[in-house]
Amino acid sequence: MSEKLVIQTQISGQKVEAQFIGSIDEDASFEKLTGLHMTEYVFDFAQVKLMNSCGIREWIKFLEQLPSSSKTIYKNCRQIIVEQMNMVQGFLRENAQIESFYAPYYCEECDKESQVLLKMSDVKDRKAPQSLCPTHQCPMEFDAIEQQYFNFIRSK
Amino acid sequence: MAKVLFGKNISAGKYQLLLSSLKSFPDLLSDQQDQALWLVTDNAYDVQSYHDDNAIELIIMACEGDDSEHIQLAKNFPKLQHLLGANAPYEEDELVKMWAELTCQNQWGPQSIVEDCLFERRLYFCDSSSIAQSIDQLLNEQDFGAHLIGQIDYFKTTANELITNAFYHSPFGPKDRKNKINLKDDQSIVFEVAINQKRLAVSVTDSYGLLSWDKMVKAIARAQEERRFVDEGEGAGLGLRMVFDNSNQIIVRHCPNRRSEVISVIEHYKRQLDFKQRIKSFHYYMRDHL
Repeated sequence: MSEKLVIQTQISGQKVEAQFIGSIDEDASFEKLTGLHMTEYVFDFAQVKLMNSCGIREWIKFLEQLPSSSKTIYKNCRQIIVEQMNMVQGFLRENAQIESFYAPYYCEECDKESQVLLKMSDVKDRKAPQSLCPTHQCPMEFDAIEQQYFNFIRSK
Repeated sequence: MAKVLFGKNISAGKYQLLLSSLKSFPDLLSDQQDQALWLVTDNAYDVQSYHDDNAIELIIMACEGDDSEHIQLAKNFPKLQHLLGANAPYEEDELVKMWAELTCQNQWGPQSIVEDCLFERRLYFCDSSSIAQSIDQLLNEQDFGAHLIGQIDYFKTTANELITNAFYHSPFGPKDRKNKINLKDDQSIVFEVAINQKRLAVSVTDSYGLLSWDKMVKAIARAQEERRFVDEGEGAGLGLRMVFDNSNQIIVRHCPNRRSEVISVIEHYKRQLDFKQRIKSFHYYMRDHL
C-alpha cells in the first residue's frame, strides 16, 4: 500500500489549517475538509512525500468543491508542488495566496544543495532572492530556471 | 539495413558530429540502392520537407530550444522518432548507442544504456497496491544520494507513474485507478534501475506492448498544450508529461502486442539548474520481435 494521505486539521473560528502528510495520489481523500464550509483554508504541504498525476486530479477536484467565496492559502510548498502549480491549470484557485514555498539553491563553495523556504514577499519581479548557505554562511546560487520556477507568480 | 541521409539544411558542426558517431557503422553510409533512408538533421524545416517522401523511413533530429516544440514536431511528423538534445553531456555516446540499437534490434533492459553498472536492481510487480511502498523500500535500502542530487523526488514520481501506467494499460484488470490490480506471475511488470558514473536509468517493461509512439507523444503534447487533467479516461493524462519533465532522455522500445519498455534516463549533474537546462532526448525503437 502507498502511504495513505493523513490530514491533520486545526480549526479556529471560520479558518481551518490543514497539514498534509504522506502521498497525494488516487487514494487521497479530502472529505475531512470538504464538509467544513469555512471561509479560509490554509494548506500546509511541508510533509507531502509524493504527488502523482492522479493525485493532482483529486486535488483539483477537491478545490472545486470548496465554497467559491472562501480564501485559500498555500504554505510550505515543496518543489514537487511548485512544479505542478506551474504546469497544471486549476492547481491554484483563482484568488489563492501563496504564503511560502521551497526553492532549490546551490553553494559552490561547499558543493551542497539546499531547499530554502521563501516567502512570497521575498521574490521581486520573479527573481530569486539571495540566500546564504546554512553550513558556512557563504552566498548560494538559485538552482533552477527563474522564469520557469516563478511562473506561478505571474499565472496566479 | 538502411542508409543515412543528411538533411540539406544540417549545420556543419552537427554534420561533423553525426559523421563521427557513424565511424563504427560504415554500412549506414554505403551507397547501395533501394535502401530505406534515415534522415538526419538539426533543422525543423528538413523534417517538414522530407517527411512525406516515401523513401524516408525515420527521421533523427538534433534539437535546440524548447522541449515542448520538439514534442509538437514529433506529433505532427510521426517519422520523427529520435530527438537528440543538442546540449546532451555525452552527445556522441548517445548517438553511437542509438545507431547500435537501430541496427541491432534486440536490446531490452537498461543495461545497453548504462554500461559498466555500479548498481543494478530488478523488481517484479504483480500487485498494484505495492508500488509506492516498494520504491520507498528500494530507496531506503540503497543510498542513491550521490547519483540523484536533488532528483530523488523526480525518481519517485517517474517510477510511480511508469509502473502505474503499465498496470492500468494492461488488458488484464480494471482501468479505474482506485481499483487495485493483481496480475499473474507471467503478466508481471518489470521495474529495473541501473546506475553508472554517467547516468541512472529507470526501466519499466510490460508484457503486452500497447504503448505506442503515437500514444506517448500525443499524451505528452496534450498535457503540455492544455495544462489540464482529463476526467473521462482512467488516468489523469498528466503522468507521461511528468515523466518527460523529470527525465533527460526517454527511450521507448515497442514490440506491438507483445512488449513495451519505457526507460527514463537521469544524467548525473552537480546542479539542478544544469539538469533542467539539458534539452531532452527522446528515442523510439520499434521491434518486430522480442
